[in-house]
Amino acid sequence: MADKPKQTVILQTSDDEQFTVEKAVAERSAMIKSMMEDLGDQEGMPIPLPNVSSSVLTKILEYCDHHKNEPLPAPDASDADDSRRRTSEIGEWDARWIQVDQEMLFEIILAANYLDIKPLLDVGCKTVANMIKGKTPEEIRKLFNITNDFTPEEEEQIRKENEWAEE
Amino acid sequence: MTGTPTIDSRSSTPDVDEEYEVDIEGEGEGEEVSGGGASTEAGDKVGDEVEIMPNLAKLALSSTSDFASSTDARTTSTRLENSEREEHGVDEDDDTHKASGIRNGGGPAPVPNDEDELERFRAQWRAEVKSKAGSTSSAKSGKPPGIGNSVTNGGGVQVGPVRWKEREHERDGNVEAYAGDAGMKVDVDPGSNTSTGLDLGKDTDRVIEIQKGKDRAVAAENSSLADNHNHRRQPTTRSTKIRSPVKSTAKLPASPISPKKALQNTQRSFQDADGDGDDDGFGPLTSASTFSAAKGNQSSAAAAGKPIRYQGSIVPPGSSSGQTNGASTNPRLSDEERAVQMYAKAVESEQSGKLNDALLLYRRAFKLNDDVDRAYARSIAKTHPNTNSTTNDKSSAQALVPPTPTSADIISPTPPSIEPYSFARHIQLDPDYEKSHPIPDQSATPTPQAPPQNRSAKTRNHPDPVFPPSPLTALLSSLPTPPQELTFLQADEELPTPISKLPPELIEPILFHLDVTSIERFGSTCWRARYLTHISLVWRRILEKIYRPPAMLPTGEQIVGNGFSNDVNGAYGSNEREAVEEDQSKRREKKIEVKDLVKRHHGEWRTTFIEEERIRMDGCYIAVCHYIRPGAGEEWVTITHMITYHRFLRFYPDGNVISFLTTDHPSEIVPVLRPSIRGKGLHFGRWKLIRTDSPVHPSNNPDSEVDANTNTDKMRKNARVLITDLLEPGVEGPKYEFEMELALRSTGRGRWNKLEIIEYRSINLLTGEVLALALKHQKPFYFSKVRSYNPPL
Repeated sequence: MADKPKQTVILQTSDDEQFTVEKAVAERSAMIKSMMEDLGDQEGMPIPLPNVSSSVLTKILEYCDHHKNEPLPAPDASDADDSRRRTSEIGEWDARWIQVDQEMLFEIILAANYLDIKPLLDVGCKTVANMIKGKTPEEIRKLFNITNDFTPEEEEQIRKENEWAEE
Repeated sequence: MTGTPTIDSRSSTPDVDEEYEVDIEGEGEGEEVSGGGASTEAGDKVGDEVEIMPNLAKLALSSTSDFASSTDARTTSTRLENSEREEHGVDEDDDTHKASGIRNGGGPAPVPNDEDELERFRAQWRAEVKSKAGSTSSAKSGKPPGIGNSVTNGGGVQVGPVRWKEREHERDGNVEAYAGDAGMKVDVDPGSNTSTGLDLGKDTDRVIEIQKGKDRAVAAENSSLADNHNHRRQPTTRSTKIRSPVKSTAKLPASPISPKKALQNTQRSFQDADGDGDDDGFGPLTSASTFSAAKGNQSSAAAAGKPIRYQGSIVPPGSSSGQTNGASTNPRLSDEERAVQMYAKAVESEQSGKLNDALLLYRRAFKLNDDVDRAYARSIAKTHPNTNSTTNDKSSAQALVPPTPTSADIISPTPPSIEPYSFARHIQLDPDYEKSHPIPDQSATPTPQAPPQNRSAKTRNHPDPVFPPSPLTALLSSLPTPPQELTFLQADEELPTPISKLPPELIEPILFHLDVTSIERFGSTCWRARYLTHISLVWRRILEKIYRPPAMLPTGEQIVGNGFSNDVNGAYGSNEREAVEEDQSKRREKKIEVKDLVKRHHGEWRTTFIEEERIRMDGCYIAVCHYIRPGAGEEWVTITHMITYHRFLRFYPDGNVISFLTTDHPSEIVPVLRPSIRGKGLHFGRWKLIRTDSPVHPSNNPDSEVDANTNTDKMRKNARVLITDLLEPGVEGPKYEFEMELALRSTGRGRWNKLEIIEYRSINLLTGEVLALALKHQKPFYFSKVRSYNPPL
């Protein structure tokens, strides 16, 4: 935040694209932050992100840029995490930002996990959770394009076993 | 009536007719044998009329007794070998039921509506039989209209014993397909039966046996009578049975019952299996069971759990030759699946009382596939993991133990779908759940469970009673794939399934944002979701919020009389503070924690959540009460008023509770039932849950407890909710305060959703006088889920 103007870092994605990013933005990722600390002052040394594609990184950098002035979450997530998770509401900007197709959404979640951007991971997971809420199992299957691999008998047993939750 | 129509239908059925004819002609031969199977059903009734085969007749009789429809067939069989048939007959009856059911479904046979009709039909049948009695003595005489059907069945059955065993080996594949063809072949078998009886163990020789059977059958019928094991008897029986087919059809209408009966039959047949197996063969069910029994000895397949499948496979054996079976199998498969689905629906309909629908569905299912009942049984058996699967841990093994749950037991009427809020739910149809039945499912399945007495004893002596593993765990462990390796399978190949990319540790945080219902619904989508939600630590977080004071009181706490009398001012806050202080002071005593609860459930947090007592906060408890009050009468008119009022209880996790008594309809009250609500009949108080594992129970009102629970053992099965400090909000210097004691129960439709009021007392705050209030009109509280009440889950 108290940024030394224009300190940048180079991020290299899985498809070999390089992004020159403001440090305050890149630091949103605890993983990049610790890498930068490890690398010290080696300017111009790209940080490889083999698990992130350029399209996803572009999207995520958008998020990081918007939140770059907020305090970083405490490294130990537990308690703060919990309180944050309690509220299933997503900030207005985040909600608009996360309106992407499902593939991108899950890519974002994966990347947020890999890059260790906890608030972003949270936004992603909340979004998925909100997609699930209020839907029937069949609707959820449709939503995620997953196959019902229960046999009819298994499904019946599962349903019975689950009766307690529906009432 | 059923009888006649059934007969026609059967005769109309191509397979059946053929079989019948064959049987008739080849009385001595296998055909007759098959007929015998049919006759077994009819046997009892027929027995009187037909005297041809005494031994068979007996068998038939025995079988006949089971089913009215079978009676006709039995008569014929009765003549055969009485003693032998009795045994066989029983099995046959079962078989015949199914068989007849099948046939009927296929044929135009009218469905008998009740036993009276059946009786009438039988009477007609008997008359017919008698008239034909002379011919009956010969196998053909048995042909009466119904015969055709019965023959098929019977033939299959008798032949079945030998063949079945063979098939069992072959079987797992597609036994069912055979039924129709099998019937014919079966006939041959009867003769072979005698040989088969000997050969039962020898699968290889079926054909030979069959042939022999035919040859022998004729001769054997006479001599075979003596041989109990021999299927020969069946041959004779079969001829009778042929007639019985008609009867069996009559039974078919009754088929709705068949699933259970079938099971019973199968069981019986198991007993008889070796010797009687032949007869059993007649009845599809019976035969199946027989096979399993026989196979059980011979084949490895016959594991305890498998009997059902065998049965299913057995059915196909009806076709004498394995080849036939194979050929016929494939084409029928799709039909079979549809038929099974239809059958399942029928079972459901039957169980939910829609007998007419059930009947129609049964018939359609049987039309599609003669062996649908067995296919259905088999499909159900599938859900029970093979006993031999070594991967099962003890828990799964236990779950599997229930060897042959009947189809009826497994499929229960679907509970009415529940709306977020509905009054219909206040009608309780089923008895309360007892704690010994953690899950409705389990009461049906003989999963070992600690009997209630044991449990309470355990609870007293050991803080950590261990409960049987949850049914879900058993299910999961019975999967062919280890649950960890399950994946989200793509449904539409055109579309991506991005969720499958997420590793379990990323599904987990998603679950953390879901409420219990959503978690469970997500878990109902597929096995992977089921597994991940089962092991998720989200439950732990939920539990830690729920299972703590006041829902988890330190053991040894004096629960009643916690200084409410001192707390006169009735301010919500001060009560709360005081209660909290109390809790804290008591908490130093021996304490049961969530961890202890989880230990009881094998470390399964979710199971703990389901099983352990808790007050529900995702809605409110409502009691609908009525009383009648005479109104101002006029000379000619008597006016009485029926007053309906409601009691509401809404609990909060912090120990507060709102109690509201009003005549307003819940739809008006529920949305405003919050601490901000005001009105007459409103009280705010504090609640505590006295768990069943809490060793100390309030002792100041033992009488009321006894009244409400008849005995202490029973009382211990129910946790109790104690509501104290009930004061009218906003009233200065209240004179009275109230206390309520309720038993927490679960009904058939959900958990912890019923509160039965045990005692309601008023305390005069000035004098300290405690008065028990009459509970004359009080009804139990039932829980209603309210979506807008967001419990801190």
